[in-house]
Amino acid sequence: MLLLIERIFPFVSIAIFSLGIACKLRQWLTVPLPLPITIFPAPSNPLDRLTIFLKEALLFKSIFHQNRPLWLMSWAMHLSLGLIIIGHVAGIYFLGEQFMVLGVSQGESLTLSHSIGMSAGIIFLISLFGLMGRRLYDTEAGATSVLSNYFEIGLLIGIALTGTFLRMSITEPSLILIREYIASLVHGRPIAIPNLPLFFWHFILLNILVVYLPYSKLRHGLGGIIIRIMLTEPPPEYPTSAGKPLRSTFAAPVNDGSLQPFQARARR
Amino acid sequence: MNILLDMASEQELKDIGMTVTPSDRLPDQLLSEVNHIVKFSRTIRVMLETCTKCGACAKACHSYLGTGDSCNIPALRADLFRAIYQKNFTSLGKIVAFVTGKSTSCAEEIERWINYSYQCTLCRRCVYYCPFGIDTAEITMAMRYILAKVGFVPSFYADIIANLLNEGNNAGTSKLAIVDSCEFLEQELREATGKEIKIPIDKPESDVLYIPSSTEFLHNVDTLIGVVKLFHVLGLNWTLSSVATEAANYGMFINLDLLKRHNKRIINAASEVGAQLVVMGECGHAWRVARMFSEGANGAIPFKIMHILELTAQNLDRLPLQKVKMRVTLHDPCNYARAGGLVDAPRQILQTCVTDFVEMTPNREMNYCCGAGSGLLMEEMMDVRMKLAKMKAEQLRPLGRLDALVAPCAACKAQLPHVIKHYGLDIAKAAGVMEILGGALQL
Repeated sequence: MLLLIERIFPFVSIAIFSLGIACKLRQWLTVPLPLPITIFPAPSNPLDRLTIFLKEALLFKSIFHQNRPLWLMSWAMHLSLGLIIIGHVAGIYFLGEQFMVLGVSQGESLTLSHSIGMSAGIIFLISLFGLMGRRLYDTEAGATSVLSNYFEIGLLIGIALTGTFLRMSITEPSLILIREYIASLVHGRPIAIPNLPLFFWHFILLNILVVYLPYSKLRHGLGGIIIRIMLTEPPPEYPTSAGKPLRSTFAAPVNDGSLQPFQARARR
Repeated sequence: MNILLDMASEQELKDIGMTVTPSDRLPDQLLSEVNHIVKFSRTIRVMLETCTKCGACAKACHSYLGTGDSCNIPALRADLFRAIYQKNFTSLGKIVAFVTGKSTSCAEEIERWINYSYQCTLCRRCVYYCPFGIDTAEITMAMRYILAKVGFVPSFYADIIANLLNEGNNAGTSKLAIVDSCEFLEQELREATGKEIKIPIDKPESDVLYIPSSTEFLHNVDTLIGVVKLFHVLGLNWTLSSVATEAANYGMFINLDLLKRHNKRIINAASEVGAQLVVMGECGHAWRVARMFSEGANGAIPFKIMHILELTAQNLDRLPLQKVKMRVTLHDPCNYARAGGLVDAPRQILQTCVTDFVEMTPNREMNYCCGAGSGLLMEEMMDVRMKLAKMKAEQLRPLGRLDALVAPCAACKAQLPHVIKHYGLDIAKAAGVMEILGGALQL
């Protein structure tokens, strides 16, 4: 069983994740968009469109204006998550010495790595508890929430808690073991998982998340990007420029050529 | 809350070329229509699969804020569709449905769909609150399309569509009555201005085709008078068309084929009179269909499309205007502000035409719907319509006494007098922008 978890599961989960996301994207993007759904004010040029898009994607502009508490919690959560992901890659690869490129000493780099990592982890946890609390105590968020929403936040809290405790207690030799294990996975020649219970659970929960993600509400980032691209489409200009292809088959001429949509009969 | 919507009978549906699905085939037919629509438009599928149920949309929705019914929270309204979609079309949904074994009968589902898809006015305000930009109006429209395909259409809509098919306009006004009405208006204009101003119909070789809301021939005649005066002052070679006497396109609310075909009627009318410019009258969703959907529905459009308010605003400095002493505010129709990008022109016109123009808060794309958008003008919905207008009344009350609440949309013009009366607001009347312009134009 352990063998299965440490050597096979990570590959299976990455495969399911990639396949899931690829299929979902294909499923979404192969469907036509017969009628534009632009919202106004609409962008007047591509740069404008990109600016609107980035403001939403990076700063969560809509909820910043409409729901400040939700914005604070969700933005802090996603920002700290971003930092955590970058921190994992750099911190594990360089064993906390990544800040030495900035000219600080080894000790200072380790302290920086530890304190930034811990802060991000704690902000991540606090905002997750905030988001969970909101679903539990806010009337409207409570009314819309379903079981899977609690499960998803619970799963993230589980990953964050094990990760934070691991960060607090980790020693350099253990970090080296973890690095070796991760490297073995990256190179496709998995070795035994380090005997660190916190790491074990952190890793298992993460794998569950990776498998679950493409099939759940957690892929909202991807959907959000596609929706925002549709919402910022420039409005059509008339008269239509010559040779412009039909938007979709829906725009093709009606066969009967009649102005009467149906064979209507006089009824009054 | 439950609404009591009169639904069209089998015969009424037959009259407009629609069919009723027998009850034993209903569940299968419903799923087949769901399958069709998620493959028809990218919006539906992505939006169904992206909501995180954060509830941010609740505070956006005048329907939820007015009725207090949590099922009117946009996310939960969309969930009615989402539930059927997930249970039948997604792998995780199929597993969950199998494990929980939860199921509701098709008849119950349909009842809830009718109930809640017709308490949404497709105003799109929730798009601005959703972190992902989910447009619940798209999902509500899809629900209405599916309902109509399986035979559930409010009889109010069926009536309008029958009129549209028979006479080319929502009110069912015949060509004869329109000609008569225009002659009467010409007489009125003669008496008021002392000038011979013609209202041309089907005039060949016209540069401009004006598509009015058919209400302008009946109860919003002051709007049409304003338009006619404008064309006269600008010296445009314009005409009305007797086959395209309706800007409104109810196809948008229940059937996209109808949308496409009514829009085609306008395109054909323009080519018949040789117009290079089609000017749309004061009707909210008509502007969305004309500006945003024309090309998507009917391919290349060989002429320019403008709104009468844009045309007016562009020529403001050429018009002999005298400010009218009145205090007015502007109600931004949903389909202008959020779906049609028409917010500055009416403001420029009003600021030039009246002495006291005040803004309500919020305004522009954050304005609240009048409560009767998407054609919810049926009498039996009056109670619900007033609830849906609660936020509108709260916006208007702080403005105090007003001589006119200006709403350049036929549906808003029909709904707002009821809102004024119901909520005891100190507002003399609801009017169109072109009506105010007509009053300020000195001929």
